[in-house]
Amino acid sequence: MSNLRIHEINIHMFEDNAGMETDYQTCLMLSNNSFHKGPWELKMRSMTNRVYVDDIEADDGIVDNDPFDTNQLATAARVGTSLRTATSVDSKQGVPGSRPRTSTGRPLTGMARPGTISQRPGSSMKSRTSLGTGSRSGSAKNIRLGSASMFVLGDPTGSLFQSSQLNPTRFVEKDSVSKQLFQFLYYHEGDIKKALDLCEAIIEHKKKGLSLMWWYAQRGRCYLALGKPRDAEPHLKISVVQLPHPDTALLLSRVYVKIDQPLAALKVISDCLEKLPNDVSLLTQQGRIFELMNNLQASARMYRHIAQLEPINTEALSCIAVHHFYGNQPEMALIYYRRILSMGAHSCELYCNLGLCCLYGGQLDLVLPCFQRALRLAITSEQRADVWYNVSFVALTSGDFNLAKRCLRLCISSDGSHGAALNNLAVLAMKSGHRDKAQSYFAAAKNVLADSDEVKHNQNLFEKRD
Amino acid sequence: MRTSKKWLDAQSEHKTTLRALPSCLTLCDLKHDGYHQLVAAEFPMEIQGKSKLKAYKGTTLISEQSLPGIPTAVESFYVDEHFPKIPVIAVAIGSSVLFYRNMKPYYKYTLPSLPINPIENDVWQKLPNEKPENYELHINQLRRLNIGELSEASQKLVFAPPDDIQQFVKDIESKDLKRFTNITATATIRKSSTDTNGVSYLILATESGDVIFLDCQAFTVTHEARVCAFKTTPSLISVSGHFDVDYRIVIGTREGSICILRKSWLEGRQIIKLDNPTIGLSILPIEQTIIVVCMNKTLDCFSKKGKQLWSVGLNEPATCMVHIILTHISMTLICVAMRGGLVQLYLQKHLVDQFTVADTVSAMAFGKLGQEDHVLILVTNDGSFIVKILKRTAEFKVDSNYNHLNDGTGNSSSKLQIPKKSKVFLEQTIRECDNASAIYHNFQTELWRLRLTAARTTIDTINSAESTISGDVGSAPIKLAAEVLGLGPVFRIVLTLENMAARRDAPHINVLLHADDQHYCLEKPYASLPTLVPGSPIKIDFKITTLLDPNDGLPPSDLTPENAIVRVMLLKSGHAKPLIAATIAMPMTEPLENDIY
Repeated sequence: MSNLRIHEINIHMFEDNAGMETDYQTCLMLSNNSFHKGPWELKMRSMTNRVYVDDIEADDGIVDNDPFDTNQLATAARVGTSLRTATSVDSKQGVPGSRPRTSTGRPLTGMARPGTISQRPGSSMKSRTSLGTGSRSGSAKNIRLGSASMFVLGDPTGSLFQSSQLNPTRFVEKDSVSKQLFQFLYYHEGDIKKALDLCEAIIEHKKKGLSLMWWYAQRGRCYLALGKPRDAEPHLKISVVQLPHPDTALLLSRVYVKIDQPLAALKVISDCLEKLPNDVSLLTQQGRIFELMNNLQASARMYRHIAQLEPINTEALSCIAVHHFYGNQPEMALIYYRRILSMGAHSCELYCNLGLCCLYGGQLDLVLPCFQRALRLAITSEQRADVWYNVSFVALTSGDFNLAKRCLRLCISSDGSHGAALNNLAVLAMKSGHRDKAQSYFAAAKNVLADSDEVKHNQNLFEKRD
Repeated sequence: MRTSKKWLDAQSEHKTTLRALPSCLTLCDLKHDGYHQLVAAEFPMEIQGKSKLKAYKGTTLISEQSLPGIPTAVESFYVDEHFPKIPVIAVAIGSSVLFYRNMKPYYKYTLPSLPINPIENDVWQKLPNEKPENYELHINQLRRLNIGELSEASQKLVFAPPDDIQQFVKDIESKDLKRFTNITATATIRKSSTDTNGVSYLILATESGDVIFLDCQAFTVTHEARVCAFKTTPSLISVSGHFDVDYRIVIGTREGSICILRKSWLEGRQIIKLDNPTIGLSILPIEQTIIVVCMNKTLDCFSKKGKQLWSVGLNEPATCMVHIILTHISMTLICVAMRGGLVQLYLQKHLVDQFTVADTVSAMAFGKLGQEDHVLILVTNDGSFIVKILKRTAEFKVDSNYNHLNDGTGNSSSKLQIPKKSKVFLEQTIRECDNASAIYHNFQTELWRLRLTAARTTIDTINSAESTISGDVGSAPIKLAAEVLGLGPVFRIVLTLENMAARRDAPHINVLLHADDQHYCLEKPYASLPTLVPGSPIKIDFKITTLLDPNDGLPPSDLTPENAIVRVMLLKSGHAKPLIAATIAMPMTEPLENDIY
């Protein structure tokens, strides 16, 4: 009797999202009787919830020019049908011509999601740790992204079970536990192969039925996580035909993005949108795909639509802000960033963006307070480097070249391979007549950004002055 | 000394005595034998010398005659359809044009007299009947007039010494009073035929700002127009089109304006006002764009409406320009000669070819010479005379090697995209206007605070040496860049060390790597480096292995992305404090699984 009451309390706690406390309580119960099914399920759920990451959000985008990528269909795709050729069609788009590009020529997006940050222009993420270069399969990242081994969470009872010794066929009949088990395996343990085995065993056992659509979707998810999008495609298709769930559609569209078929991805989303009109997650995915395809106008339109449906959607707001900023309307960007700020987001990047908007929008009294806050909030060395780099523009705009130099040096001291900062330092050295210094900075910038036109151009100009 | 493979150096004659201006060269089939010759009007080297009209066959002089004055321009064209077609050579000298046929003079045309000021007329009517004592009174009357608008006789009278005045008046009184203007530029325009030897009219631009179209068969003026509404002096002229169909004449003036004159207009229109004097001007027949070379080392292109299309900076001041029409590859190139002997060819704004000659080129002409169709003739300041033949196989491609050098001013004409200013912007501007001084003070205060913050952070960075670039106080600054290669568990850390100093060496540098021995195994954590010299980075690599749990093949459970770091310390022998103490974030080890799907 008492057990049941605790259980109820636990469920109550669980729904209040107090995972830690639930854990503790279930541990107590399990230590009493390790074959107790209710607490076991509850513990799995609570542990999963503690580390749950919406892995659909953790979109890698695409890996450009990966020689080992055998998933893409056409090696020489027609313009407009591929993400790889998308970078070449942009010149006609005109308006946001000055939006910075990533190292592979893609326009910068407005929001850093896991996987997008590694492509910032001018920074050295790539060269320093070579994360995100094609030679890494990225599987470790996928597995670790949400798995508990990433967070060192103390577990008073030790691990719940050895997932490697789990026999999936034992759970095919137990409908109440199997889904929780899958999520536990997938999200908490990060054992995708085992999770996939479980999916397959259940699909094999049940053959038919509406309840299988969830399992097909999970099967696709597992394949996708294992980096086999072509295997995931049929399963997700079955699932989405049975029930057009946004998650499934998103997974399927991600499959198409991975195999470089953006038009098919858009088709999946728009089919699903017909059944589920104005679903924000689907619209967001559409916006992202448009952005990847370099169709910035369409992307901005989509994000505006999202912002109307859901005025607190941070991604939509920040993407619109970026669109305005690089469309030479910093004052409009400022409005959107302020809205994000008023929603309670206090991050170094946001303050940095606010500062830049104020600077270029002519709100001079607010520029430096924003940057001061950004500096205070900058924790990682990349953040520090970025903020100092941006502060150097304030210094340049106010004509204080010495301060600009100091800021850039601080940026470099945080991130030794910040190519843009090295380039700017070289230009400043050139302006103040320190030719030798400029020469060595140019050489360093060229080392970091080997194929940057800006550095090349500056260097040519520099050599021409001889 | 650059040479170009696209041109054959056919003939050259050094230190001959040909000295010519760009407008004084013309190429024509002098005897109708299909063998084109160069006709040049040479100006004398000293004031007493005689100008000469010379004809060259190749580089050999075949005809030479004296000219009665300093030539302004030479043109060759056809005046009738009679066979054999013999071109007429027109030499503009002062206010008249001398016509030659078969290199023999046959007509002299003089510009019509300009109207005489009534006061001047009045003075001259009175003068012969006056007593010599009263001459001064009348001459003073003339002096009040603008000297430029007086006839030649009056000008001489005004400046004549008092003793000669009486004699001078006597000489003049019997003659009619005439005022002439000078020819400053000439051109030809074909009447209607597109054929190169069709009948043409001669266009004369005069110092008084008139443009006269002269039919040289009957020597009648077929059309007369003003260059511009206000007084300008034409100096360069370029023509496109046919007289009977439609034409455009572009006229460059000494005042810096460029005017355009179209068919049946009585007055040209100013379309461009340049700040610098023009050296060369050309309206391209196919593109219909106006190319201008200015003294400020720029080559500009304008549309017919006067809009600047592009601008290219030149390395040296230009001396002359000629456009080259290559019909066989349908291209129009612009050839610009510069001081020092550099000659560059541009296709649009792209440099496509260049070569140098021994001395600064003073005049150029392009066209048929001998039996060749595409010949460039260059006359240099020291009198050399160079003939270059364009190879038939020559192609002009836009080469990226040349062009990035020229981009310096090339973008100036690109269109700026200015978005519409939003209402928010206007509101913010009003706020800015209202609180200008408060905003300014606030910004200045914050700027000082920022300077302080930057200085403090710099000091902190130097003290903690937690930086990727070492301070340059007392020693050379060294920049460290690290790269981690590999999928794990075995990684390779490649360090790139670079001396950023201007010229100081950095000897006795050592590198020490430090990592948690529970997580990583470093094979060789220490290295002693050779002297780092500026400009040549040193790469050094270290092998590092993540320690794996022997049971499950996974990294230790307490290895997280936050503490997966390796410290790099750069030490200088004899110093306790490291120069740089940077950290490298290590990537996670990829799982070692053999049966991965």
